[in-house]
Amino acid sequence: MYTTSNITSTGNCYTPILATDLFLSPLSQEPTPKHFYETMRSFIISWYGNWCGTLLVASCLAWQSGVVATAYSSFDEKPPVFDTVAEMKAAMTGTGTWCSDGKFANSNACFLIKSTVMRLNMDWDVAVTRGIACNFLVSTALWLAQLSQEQISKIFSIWICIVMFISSGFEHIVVNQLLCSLGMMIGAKDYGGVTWGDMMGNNFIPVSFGNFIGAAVLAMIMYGCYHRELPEYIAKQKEIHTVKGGDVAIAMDDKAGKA
Amino acid sequence: MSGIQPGSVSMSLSRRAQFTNPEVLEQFIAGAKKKAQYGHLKLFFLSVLGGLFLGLGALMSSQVGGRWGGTTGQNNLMFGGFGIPFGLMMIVFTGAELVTGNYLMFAILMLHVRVISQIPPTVYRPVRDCLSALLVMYVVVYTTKSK
Repeated sequence: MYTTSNITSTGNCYTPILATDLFLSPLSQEPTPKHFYETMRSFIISWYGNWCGTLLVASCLAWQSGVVATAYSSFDEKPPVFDTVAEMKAAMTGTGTWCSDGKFANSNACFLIKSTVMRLNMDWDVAVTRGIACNFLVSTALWLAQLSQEQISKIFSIWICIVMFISSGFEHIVVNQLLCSLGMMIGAKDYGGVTWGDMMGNNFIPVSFGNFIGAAVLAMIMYGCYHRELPEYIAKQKEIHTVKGGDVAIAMDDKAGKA
Repeated sequence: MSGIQPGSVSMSLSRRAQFTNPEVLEQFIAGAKKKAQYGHLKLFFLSVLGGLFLGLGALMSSQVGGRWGGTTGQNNLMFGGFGIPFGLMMIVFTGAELVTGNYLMFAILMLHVRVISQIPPTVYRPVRDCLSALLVMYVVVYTTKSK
């Protein structure tokens, strides 16, 4: 049933996108300024809310509880592992030292510091491109999860997409909010000379921008392909194509009727 | 088969394994409209919850994947395979807010209500032309520059 609908609508994909039918199609709802305001409000509040949540994890659950060792940090109240920054740099750049000592006990902190420095020295084009690829896959995960009806199907759908984007090395803004904040707390700012401004300017802003583009690309493709099969659209088409003064409805888009 | 009550067979047969794509599109539009009705505080605290879930997932990833693996490939697989996916699963099942999920839902809502048609051409055209020029500059000039 849904296979037929998939095939017919996939064949119809390119026309609405190329003909800018996305912006001109007669849908049932008129735009209002309220929609734009609600969208911006949701983006801003959820962005900061997500950062607050990840900062809670980074500061209370990871850094203060001591599960991630503090290498060297000038604002850390606890005694750092290294006495000086030069000592930390020497221990982290050499072989067989702090990063691999004690059966790799501190290699998680080493990983966090080095990956934070790498992320905060990233060029804008790289960050935006990685953000686009990342959120295209995250949005696909959400789409597949919504497509499934059982929880185990949703779990597997999410898992495959997330493994794809993280293992490939793409950038997700909320994951970066945790990793970069935690990396800065435990010593990346001393190790790599990066600042909190770098974190915002070189990573968070371009990655957020790329994430939005990735989601918008998937949204445009899916909406372009399937909006003709929405009940609202079909009802609107029926209303438009009904001849006034009679009950005869002319043949409407037959592909839309197969949904 | 004797234990099956009358009617349960037809019910199980009529139950589909998944929704269709247009149904998902409709659900996303309805979901975005519902999210738009949230108050500021509800939105904020659900976002904090989402950040906590994904933060805990990423912390597990760094604790496990950061220590695991003799090669970068193994390390990446461990980092991405466990932790962060669990965080996103918790977010999806509990209805917490994630900014990247909102990007998708509200992009669909924006397309649905044709918000671009609201922008006046005097604003829309210069921005569009500037972005197109920048894209061409980047693709043609910057990526093909000689070393």
